[in-house]
Amino acid sequence: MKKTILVVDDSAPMRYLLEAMLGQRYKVYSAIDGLTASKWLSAGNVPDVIVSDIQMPNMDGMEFTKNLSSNLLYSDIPVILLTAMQLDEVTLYPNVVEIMSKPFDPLKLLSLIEKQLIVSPTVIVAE
Amino acid sequence: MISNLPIQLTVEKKKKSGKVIELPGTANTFVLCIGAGNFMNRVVDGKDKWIINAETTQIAKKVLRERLRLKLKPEFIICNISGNNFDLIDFRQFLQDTKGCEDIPLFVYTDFLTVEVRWELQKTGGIDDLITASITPEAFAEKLKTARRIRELSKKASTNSASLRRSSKYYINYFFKRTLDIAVAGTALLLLSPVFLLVAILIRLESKGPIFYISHRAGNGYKIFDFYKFRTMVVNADKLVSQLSHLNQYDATGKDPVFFKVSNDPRVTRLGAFLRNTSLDELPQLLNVVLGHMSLVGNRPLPLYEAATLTTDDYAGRFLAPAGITGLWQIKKRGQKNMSVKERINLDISYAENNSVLYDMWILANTPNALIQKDNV
Repeated sequence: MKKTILVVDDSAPMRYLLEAMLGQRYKVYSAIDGLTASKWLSAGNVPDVIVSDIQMPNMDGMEFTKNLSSNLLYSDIPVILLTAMQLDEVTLYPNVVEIMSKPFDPLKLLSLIEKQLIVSPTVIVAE
Repeated sequence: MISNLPIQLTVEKKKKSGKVIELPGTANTFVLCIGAGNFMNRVVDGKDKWIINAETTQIAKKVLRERLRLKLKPEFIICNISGNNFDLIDFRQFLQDTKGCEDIPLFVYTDFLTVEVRWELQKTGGIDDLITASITPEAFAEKLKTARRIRELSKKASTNSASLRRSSKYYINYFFKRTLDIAVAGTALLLLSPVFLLVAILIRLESKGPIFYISHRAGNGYKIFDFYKFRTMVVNADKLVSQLSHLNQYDATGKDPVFFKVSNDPRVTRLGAFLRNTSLDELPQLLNVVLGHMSLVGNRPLPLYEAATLTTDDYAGRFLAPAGITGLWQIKKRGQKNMSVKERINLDISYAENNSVLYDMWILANTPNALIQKDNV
């Protein structure tokens, strides 16, 4: 079964680029901001990896990532942040596996995603 | 607390119509718990919360319907799935379809969380968060706040999934473009086969090495393919790049994307220089066209080190167009030595936005002028 990637970016050309590039290997869904992405998740969709921009309207990538990391339902989904922001301005939540700055090397992104897909699911703390 | 206001308003309104339903004063807000509620003291400070406990989702639905008739809405719903087998999908559907229930936060409590349970719940959808035995009222308050914020935002913004959908116009255009490509490139390959043979022999005679130079290029949507050219440089030319970087025509020191180009490149063979000046070295790209990697007209497929510098919001648009042998920047600016990277990319983006078969034909018609170069670009 093809793995699923959720792309979150407000720039249409960037979404197209990621969809086309990642679409060669994975099933790719894209959302225009963190809010749309949250709604998509809430509709019962489960991506294997999320690739998200940071600066977006409605709900930016930082808030989106923070919500996911503090949510037991979604905290296991690895997030890769793609941003034009200075990297030291970005908060590293535990679900963020990498921050890549734009322009980014698509081949590096692909190998990073591939790495996430191999990693076995983390054991959940259970009481 | 949240529902305080609406309730009182309704009660007032209803008084006038004579259908007053008296409500206990403390019952302004309540929390609905489905399944055993023995954990609830860890979720809320029980003092002023009215907790209604429903044994099953069926009973919960009934309770909700009744309360909604009284214009009463639970502050949130918690479903305890430990040891229970609830049909959560059905319940979630009920919440979604019932007017007034869409924005009630729904939590799921479980004593024991496994990967499988989480997967099931993720696929169920409509659940705001999971809580386990380690929950504290403070942590829960935080979760509730987040859940409310997202639900409120969702209500306001009517955002829909924004996958870039392509119109039928796109596919019609693509069909004609591909047909034109195969017809023209196929014919050209047949007609030019003697030239191919001659060039191949000459390359072999002049210097050792393969006839074609194959590099990886990024085309439409950053699809990477083998890009064919006649070899115009000595073998191992790529490895000499670093030694020549000081001659680079483009400014590689600033923040601008990096391109590599050198005037009078010493790695070029004499035959190579001739092939380059006449653009004959580009001919093997007709193979790429027939194979579908490229089109006759489009944006130059870039070497990967160049392409990787263009993956920004501003420049990504250039990858929306097919890769092509000739294109806007070749006909507009070819021969101008110091065309800036920005100008070039803007022409690429402009082509990506405006491309059509007719536009392609116009560019093709203007290409011969640009073919014979005055400057060694």
